Amino acid sequence: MLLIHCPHCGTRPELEFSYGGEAHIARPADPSLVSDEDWASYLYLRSNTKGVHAERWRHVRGCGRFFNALRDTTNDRILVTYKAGEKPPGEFR
Amino acid sequence: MSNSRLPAGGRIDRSRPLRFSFDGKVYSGFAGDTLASALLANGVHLLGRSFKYHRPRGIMTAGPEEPCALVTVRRDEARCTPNLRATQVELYDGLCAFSQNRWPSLAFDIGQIAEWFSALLPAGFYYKTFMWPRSAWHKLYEPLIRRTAGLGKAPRLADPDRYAQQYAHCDVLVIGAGAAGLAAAQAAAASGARVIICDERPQMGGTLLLDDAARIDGRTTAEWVDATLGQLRANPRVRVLPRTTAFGYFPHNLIGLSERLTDHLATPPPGLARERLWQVRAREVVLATGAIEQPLVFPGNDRPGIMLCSAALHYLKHHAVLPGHRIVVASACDSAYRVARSLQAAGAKIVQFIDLRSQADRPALLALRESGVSCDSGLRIVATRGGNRVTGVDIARIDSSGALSERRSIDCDLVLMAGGYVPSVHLFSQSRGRLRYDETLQVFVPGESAEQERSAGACRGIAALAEALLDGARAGVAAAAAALGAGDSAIAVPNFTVERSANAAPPLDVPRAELATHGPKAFVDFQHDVTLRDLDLAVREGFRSIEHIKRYTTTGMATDQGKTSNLNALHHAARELGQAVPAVGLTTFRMPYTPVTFASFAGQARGELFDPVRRTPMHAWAVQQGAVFEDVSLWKRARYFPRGREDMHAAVARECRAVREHCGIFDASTLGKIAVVGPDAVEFMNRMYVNEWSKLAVGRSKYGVLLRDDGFVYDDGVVARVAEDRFHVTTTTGGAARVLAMMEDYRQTEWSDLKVWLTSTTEEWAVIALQGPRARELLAPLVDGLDISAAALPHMGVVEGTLQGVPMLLFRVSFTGELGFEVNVPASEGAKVIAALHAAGERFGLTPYGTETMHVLRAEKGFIIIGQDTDGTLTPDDVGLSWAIGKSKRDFVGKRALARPSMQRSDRKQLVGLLTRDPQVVLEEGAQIVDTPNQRAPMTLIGHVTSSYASATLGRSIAMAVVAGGRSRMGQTLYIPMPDGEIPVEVCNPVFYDPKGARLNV
Amino acid sequence: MSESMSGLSVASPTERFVLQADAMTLAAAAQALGFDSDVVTSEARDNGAFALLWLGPDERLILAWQDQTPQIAPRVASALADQPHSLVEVTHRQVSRRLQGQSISELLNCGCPLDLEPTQFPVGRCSRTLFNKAEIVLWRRGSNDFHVEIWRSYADYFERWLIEAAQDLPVSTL
Repeated sequence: MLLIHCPHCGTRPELEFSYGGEAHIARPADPSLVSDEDWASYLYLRSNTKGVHAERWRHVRGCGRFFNALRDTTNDRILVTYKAGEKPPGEFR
Repeated sequence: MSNSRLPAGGRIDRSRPLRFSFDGKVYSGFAGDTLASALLANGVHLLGRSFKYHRPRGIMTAGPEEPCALVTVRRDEARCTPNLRATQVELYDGLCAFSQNRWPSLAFDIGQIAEWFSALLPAGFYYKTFMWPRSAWHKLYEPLIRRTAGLGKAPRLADPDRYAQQYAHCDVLVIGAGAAGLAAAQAAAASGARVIICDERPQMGGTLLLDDAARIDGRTTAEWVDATLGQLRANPRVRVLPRTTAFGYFPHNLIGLSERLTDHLATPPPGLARERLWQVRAREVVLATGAIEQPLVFPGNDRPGIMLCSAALHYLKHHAVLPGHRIVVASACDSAYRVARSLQAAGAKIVQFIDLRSQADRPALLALRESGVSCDSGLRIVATRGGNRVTGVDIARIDSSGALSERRSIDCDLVLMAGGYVPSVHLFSQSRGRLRYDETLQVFVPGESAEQERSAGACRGIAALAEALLDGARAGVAAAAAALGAGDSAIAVPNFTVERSANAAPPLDVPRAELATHGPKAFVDFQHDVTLRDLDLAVREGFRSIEHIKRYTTTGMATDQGKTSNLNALHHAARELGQAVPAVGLTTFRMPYTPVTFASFAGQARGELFDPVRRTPMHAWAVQQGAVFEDVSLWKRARYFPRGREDMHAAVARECRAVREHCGIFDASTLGKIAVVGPDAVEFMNRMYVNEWSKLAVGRSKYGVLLRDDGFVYDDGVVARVAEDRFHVTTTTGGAARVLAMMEDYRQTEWSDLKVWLTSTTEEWAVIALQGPRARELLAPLVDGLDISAAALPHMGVVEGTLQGVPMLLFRVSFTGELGFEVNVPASEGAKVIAALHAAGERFGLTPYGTETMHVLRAEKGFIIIGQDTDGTLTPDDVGLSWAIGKSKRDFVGKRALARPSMQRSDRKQLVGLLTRDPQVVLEEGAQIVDTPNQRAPMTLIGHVTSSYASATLGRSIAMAVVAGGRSRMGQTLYIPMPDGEIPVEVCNPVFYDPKGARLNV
Repeated sequence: MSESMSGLSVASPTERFVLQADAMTLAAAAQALGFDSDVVTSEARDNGAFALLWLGPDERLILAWQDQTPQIAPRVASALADQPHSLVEVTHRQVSRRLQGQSISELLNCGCPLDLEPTQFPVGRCSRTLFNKAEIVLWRRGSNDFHVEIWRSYADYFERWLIEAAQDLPVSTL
């Protein structure tokens, strides 16, 4: 069970969180302008990174907020977490 | 009692004799004994039969590493625990233990025939011998192997004991309470840290307690242990957990501990939990898990009466038991000399001491020889004798060509092995720390850490008492400093003055692989019966990695996880492969360190506490009405209300007729409810649901359909606009949580600019559906003057009011096709209100109905149920809901996906009705559909039945189905192939009853 | 209820509301309820008439203790009349439990994975969290005094578990 740092509440056990898949995949502002292929990749294609992966979590059994985390998928270490809508802190970009 | 028990000494309580039985025979021991020590005290060495060859096996160790002495301890029929290590079973009065894997009796085992055929059972025999014929595996080979091989049997009855679980947090968790662990805990606690220290044994102190000559700060080791434990126990920030195994090291410093609470008690107090599973989150961990002595590999090294040197010392010092009187010691390291002297001093005769190392005689050997013991260097044990206990050995010198010289036979009743110590790095390895091979010690030691932990003492190769204490103290200080955010130097490391200590675990100073003596039945893995020859075979057959050799031979894969075999196997394989040990690799250490009961993992989550059982506010009313309940997600829902001897079919038929003809009452409280509130609520609803909400007036509701962005139907429900900026959204019962989560996702991450908020109100409201032609006349007198006429409250109208003074949100909605209302009242008032409605409805023939009737009534109307008629691959059009889509909306969740060509194909599966040719035949839900019978298998399947019922209203069966291009097949005959023939059905409109909806608008 | 569970009692507010809005609006609401300022992250405060509990950065739980007549909606709604917000009544959605006693944080730790040591979860701290499979709002009112909010259909599960676990509390030096 991981320890996850919620940007709002602090470090809490994984039990309180739900996983939300890869981060920074924005829904197209006007989907009608998007090609079938691009829409399909928006829906289904994910990077499946080995290494540092930007992903969404929600502190669903806590403050309820979605936020982002950079997690190293090779060792489950979470490098940093940051609020939804924010970019990863500079040193991790 | 045999003369194996010494008249004095040991840490047993001679004033408390205990009786126990083994395989039905009664023996006695003392408080402080383990089952193993008590059996040895009684001269019992034969404890079980081996896994594959059914060879007699005894007690090899005195701890958790025991591979052989596995027993079943039985309190009663249900409390019967197999595969316990006798070396860890604490004796209590009346303990009843049995040997395993023997038939018909331990001393005469018919399975030993397997040994005579052992040529047939080489490494990989599973893969080779039983390959052909294939069908024989299940019928012949497997049952036979299962009968003769294997471990103890699990009891057939449910476990009657209770098991506790506990979360705990600390600054420093110390695992292992030997010298290093106690010093670490003491140092960490002195710095003010919250400390937990656990040890798997009942007595803390580890090997310190064996070192009785040593003095720490002028005290005996036992005194020092007691004083240190006393200090720790007196500290309110320290928790001391004996009988507690750290079995698993999980990510981010979560450690699983298994505490045994009652297994050592003769009469466990009723109600007391048997075990407690701790989930400890530690800021820092100190691993002080010690080291495990290794056996030597020589022909016949598995007979009862052959044990580790350290085990003999343990039985002597702890239990005052001499496991033998005429002892041969075979040693590869200096620790054996001290053991030999101790045993000698206790009255045993060392009939032969051999130091396997071929160097010139060492001072310790010379000293031992001086005391009259026959001592030799460079000799090997080349054979052993004895049936159920060793009676002698052959020793000889082996030259480089393999030729024997100086061979002689020696009679003995105990053989001790000292193969050097191996650090117990299991937990470190589980934590994904990287092990480092120490060329000097010839063992793996902890290298780079992955977690916030450090090892101390013998588990990282530091065994001498003074060094281990200091190492432990340093680790405790460093851990506390790290946990408390202080600098290392802020906390002083205590000093220890150690005198007269013998080095408990000296390093092995000859190549480990050279210690093995070849010959028949030279066992490496004692529990899985893997010999040197099996390893040789694996190498000969081309296996190169230890991971593959392990799987092929099964070495190290038994319940002991190779605690006494992995290193010997690895060194031997490396030598055979001509490679360095680290190049051949080390297999992964997996949790649990020692087996943990399943019940411990379940903890209290059994029976009623397995999952929350959610009951509606009207549950007691439904019970009173004789409801039969069904589980719908976590809810208990009334399924039907049988009267007299009615079965479900009869009850449902009666309930259906009552709703169609009079009125029914139904508890709909479990429907999910979400308050969508804020100035942008309507915009949010427009973006989430397929429907157009802008024009929905306050006081009106409509049926909403929710898709995922992939275009498939996700949920549905009636949505009411209760104010300009406020929607009351209902969801399916099972969908409540996931719909809210999905909405929150879009709200927070895609449209965070919208001023709208979501609140679950599922449990705020009790919902009572009144459905049927007489619903209005029944309800009207109760609503405190509110006008609920068709004009004032038309179909899909919503109004706030009171019902006999109780605040009410009243929906005019119908999931049955009849005139209907859903009365929403505060949940606390639900029981009162349903009773009032039920009483008032009596003269209108008001009938309670359940979910089964609800399903039939809605199917008659062709209303879908999400998750029953849909499966996450159907679009709104597929299920006939394209009318709900707001056509002028630029976007909503799922809209773009619906424009993809594949979503618009005419041969997509579409919802249709099916009528069986024989109206009495009720189709099976889930049954597959074909368009022509008499196809050869595999038939072309074009759809499946999603809902199917006997309709009392229509006097026949009805079914809904999804069928490829279904809407273009109206009137066609399709077939449902069943085991006893195809059932012909006709495709029809899925609205079977009142297709014009005339009954709704009254 | 067994003797060991004497610490479990019902503590019923007369009203409960969930308020969601931006920070300015939440502060205005806090003042309307008689608090000097809004609560900070993970904080709960009680002024005798109302309790204000932080649930999330834009979410508060408001409890009213005293009158049977509606108190929260009139005060908050009028104070926030033209500021965007969501005020939703949850009086009946959940129930309250008061847990008091020497080993009460250990008892909670039979199902709650948070560190309840007083320095880690001090008096005045509140949080949504889990008790085994049930979501709860946990509010520490005193060193051995917790207030729990739980959805009504989970209350039975919560209580049964506590009663079961109370038998198994580790005899502790903590």
